[in-house]
Amino acid sequence: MSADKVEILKRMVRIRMVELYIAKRYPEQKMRCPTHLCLGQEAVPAVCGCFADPGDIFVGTCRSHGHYLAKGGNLTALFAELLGSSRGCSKGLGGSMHLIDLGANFWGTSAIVGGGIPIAAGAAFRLRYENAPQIVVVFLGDAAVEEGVVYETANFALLHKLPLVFVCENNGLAITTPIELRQCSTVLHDRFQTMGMHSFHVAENDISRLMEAIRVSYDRARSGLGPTFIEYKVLRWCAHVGPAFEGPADLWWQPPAASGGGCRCPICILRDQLIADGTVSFEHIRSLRQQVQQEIEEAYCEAERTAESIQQDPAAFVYASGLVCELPGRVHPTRDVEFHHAETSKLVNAF
Amino acid sequence: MSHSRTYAQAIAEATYQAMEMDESVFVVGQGTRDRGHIFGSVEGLLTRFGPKRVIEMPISENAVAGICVGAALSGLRPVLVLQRADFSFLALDQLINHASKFHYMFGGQTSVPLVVRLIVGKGWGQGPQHSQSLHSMFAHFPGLRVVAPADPYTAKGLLLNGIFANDPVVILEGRPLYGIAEVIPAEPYTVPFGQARIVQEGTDITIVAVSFMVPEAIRAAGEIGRAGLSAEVIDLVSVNPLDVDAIIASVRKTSRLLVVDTSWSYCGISAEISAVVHERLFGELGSPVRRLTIPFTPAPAAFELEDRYYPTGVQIAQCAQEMICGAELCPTGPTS
Repeated sequence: MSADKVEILKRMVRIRMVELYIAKRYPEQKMRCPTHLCLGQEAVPAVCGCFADPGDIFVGTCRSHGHYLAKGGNLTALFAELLGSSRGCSKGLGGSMHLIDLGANFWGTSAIVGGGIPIAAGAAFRLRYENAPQIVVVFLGDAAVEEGVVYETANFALLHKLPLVFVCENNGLAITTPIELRQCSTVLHDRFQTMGMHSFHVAENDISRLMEAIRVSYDRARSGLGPTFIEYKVLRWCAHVGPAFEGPADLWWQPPAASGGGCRCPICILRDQLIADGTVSFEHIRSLRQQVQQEIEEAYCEAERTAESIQQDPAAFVYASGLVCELPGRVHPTRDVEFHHAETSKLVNAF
Repeated sequence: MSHSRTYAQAIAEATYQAMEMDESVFVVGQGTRDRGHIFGSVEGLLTRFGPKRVIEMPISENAVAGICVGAALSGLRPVLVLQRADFSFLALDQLINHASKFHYMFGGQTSVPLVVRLIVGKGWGQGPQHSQSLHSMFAHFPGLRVVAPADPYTAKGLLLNGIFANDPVVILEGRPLYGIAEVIPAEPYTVPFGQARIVQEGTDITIVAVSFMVPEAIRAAGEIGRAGLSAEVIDLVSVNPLDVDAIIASVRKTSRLLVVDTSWSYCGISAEISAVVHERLFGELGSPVRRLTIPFTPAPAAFELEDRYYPTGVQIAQCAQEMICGAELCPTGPTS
């Protein structure tokens, strides 16, 4: 348990530091795309990533830097994507809202609220179709629960017992509109329970409970028990989009006293737990910071140094195949034009 | 080997053969268990391939479309059938925002080999929400292939081509065409995207027709033939991409073009074809391009009103004759 928590802390720190770094460099206007940071929301990606197998599939949202990194997405390719480089994870064609790393089984993100949810279910459908042992984790926010497609997908996932875990990060905001103005109830998970889905409701910063919920959900999906819905209350510190944020995002590496009492920083809370039980020391935290800082700077430098505007013709990516498609394992027969015309004249007469 | 097959049977045969050839092909739709077998177009599939590969869908068009997108991204080849094209509006987020863009927006790393079969109703009072021909709308979006076959041969070949394409393909099937039979090859074959079909050669006018307007155009050609005039009839087949070469070659020969469509002329494929021809052949045209389409209203349910709603062979012939002979303009009626 402690070992897992140390790993989760490391992942949270890495995500936090990447986001802070982007926030710092964003005003330089080299990264020019709508960028949704996840400052304050690092726990879900870190825990989900920590317990996932490499073969498990993640599908994200427009706010998915954390999910991408937690699944093992390449950091340099993330920066390159934000820089609009053809070396980016989506060759610069997607931007921050369309991240992918197929090698890490991070299968992409949608900039349409709820858009990734049925796609994740489709990936889970294929796993069931082929009796594969992997599972799919789909991330969503509270606003996605206002989209009909989430219920449609939940129904299908239950009907077909798909190996799918819905992880809802309920930050109570749709851009800036509070959930109270949008939903009949501010609690979300129980609607899915009513449909017959196993569900969890985890309070803000209760990382032990979040870990348990994720572990149980993964096990259920892996053992054929179908989908689970996890609702985790979380605080978004950043603006909906762009580098602005409020909150103690950069206190976590300072002496615990500086964080002050009642701090709602998930990293500070986890750090204090691990220091209190003697698992890590404050020196560990500082050296972790140094190590991650170095990794980030090197990755950004590399992305910036190699940045190139789109070299290929982007039109080449509109279609995956040509006009003529081959039948599997067969010689492509040429169309018998004469034959066809003869038959068509019969058709003409039939009218 | 060849045998006679109706349009519906040709579709079922193509699907059956694709499923035989490749285990990753599956069908999902509403009414797969119904004894009507979606107007016969999925007949025999459930018996042969079982419920794992012939899936009855909940009435959740958007989620099911998205599930097909996810399955396709994973390497499966879904065939999604909607009994009426009108229902596809509920699935447009997944089809347009996702399926058509995934290959592009992830830099060519993913592809969506998905076929969406949409059946366009006509006749027996199908009315405003069961009769819409949506090919022009789908053709507007890069990333989709959009076809509307009008004969069993093309329907089978295009469906097989679509199933084994690595892109999302929207096939609009005219319900009035389902009963048409012709002799087609029994073995699997493909018809490429982007190819119009020259149904009948002629010299005085080119009539480009879409879907179930093709039989009407053939009828019109026969009619004006009796008046000593010769029409070249082209079945458009592929709405995206457009077979510009075939249309231009034909109009260059005949110098006149009449486009007959099952959808509205306003912002429709008939407008696109007209624009392309005017851009390329402005000085060579013997008369302005004309369009005969449904009027700019929803489809009425009442039998007599519906009967007047669609262009007929007689109207097409009259319009063509007037274009060739320079008589007064076509009477108002089916034009918008």
